[in-house]
Amino acid sequence: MGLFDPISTAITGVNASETWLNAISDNIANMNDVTSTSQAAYQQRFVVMQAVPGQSGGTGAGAANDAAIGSGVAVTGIALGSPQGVEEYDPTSPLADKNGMVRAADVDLGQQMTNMMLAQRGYEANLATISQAENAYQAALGLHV
Amino acid sequence: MSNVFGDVATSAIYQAMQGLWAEQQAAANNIANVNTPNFKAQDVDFESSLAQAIAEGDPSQMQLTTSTSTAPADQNGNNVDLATEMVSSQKAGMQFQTMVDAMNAKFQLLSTAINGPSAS
Repeated sequence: MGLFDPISTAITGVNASETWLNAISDNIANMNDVTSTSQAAYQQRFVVMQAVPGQSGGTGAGAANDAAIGSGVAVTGIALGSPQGVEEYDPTSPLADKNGMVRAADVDLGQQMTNMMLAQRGYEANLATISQAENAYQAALGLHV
Repeated sequence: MSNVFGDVATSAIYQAMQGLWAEQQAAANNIANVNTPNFKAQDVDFESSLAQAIAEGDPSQMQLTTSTSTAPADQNGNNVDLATEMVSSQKAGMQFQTMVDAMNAKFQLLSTAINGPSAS
């Protein structure tokens, strides 16, 4: 168990939430993208997160079990949604094919907004952890004879 | 003669700090994974083991045990309850502060014994 573990763990959470927020903003920014049907639509960005297992090497009583406490979260990749998008009828568009169809991005704004709230909540909770751990460090620094 | 710096009280306070630190770490990890699909929250327990170790006169025998929470999971397989974790983190922090105060009080006693009452 390292000295600054709670803080570094919380930072992994802040970073993961931030990556998710970035992906969400990308999705929302591109939700109205339109291409011709011969091209791929904007592919929705999905953030893939995975828990990071704890590292062994703790000392003292219970070290073996101590290793079991995880050390945060990691973004292991960005998955892309379908390039199919949704075909829409828009014959006035200069991109429309002979049937009047265009390919629009398949992004659900409601879902993105909900995800944004989740990501924001995660971001804030991790920041609260940091300040909480900071208080504990401050307390420990107050040890004196 | 027993070691004045390694008595049961000092050792117990030290072990409690270790345990609380692990609790803090577990809460931090659970919060970091609040949005991770299929993640299951981890719980840390040391109190019962510490109580037993103190009763047996050697707090350093305390065992930290971590377990996986069996709370019902969300749709995405995650069972972290943010409110519980925030409270657990705050509680561990306040208990840690209390342990620091206890350790300071213990040092104060030693200081008084060494230097006499006027020195402090």
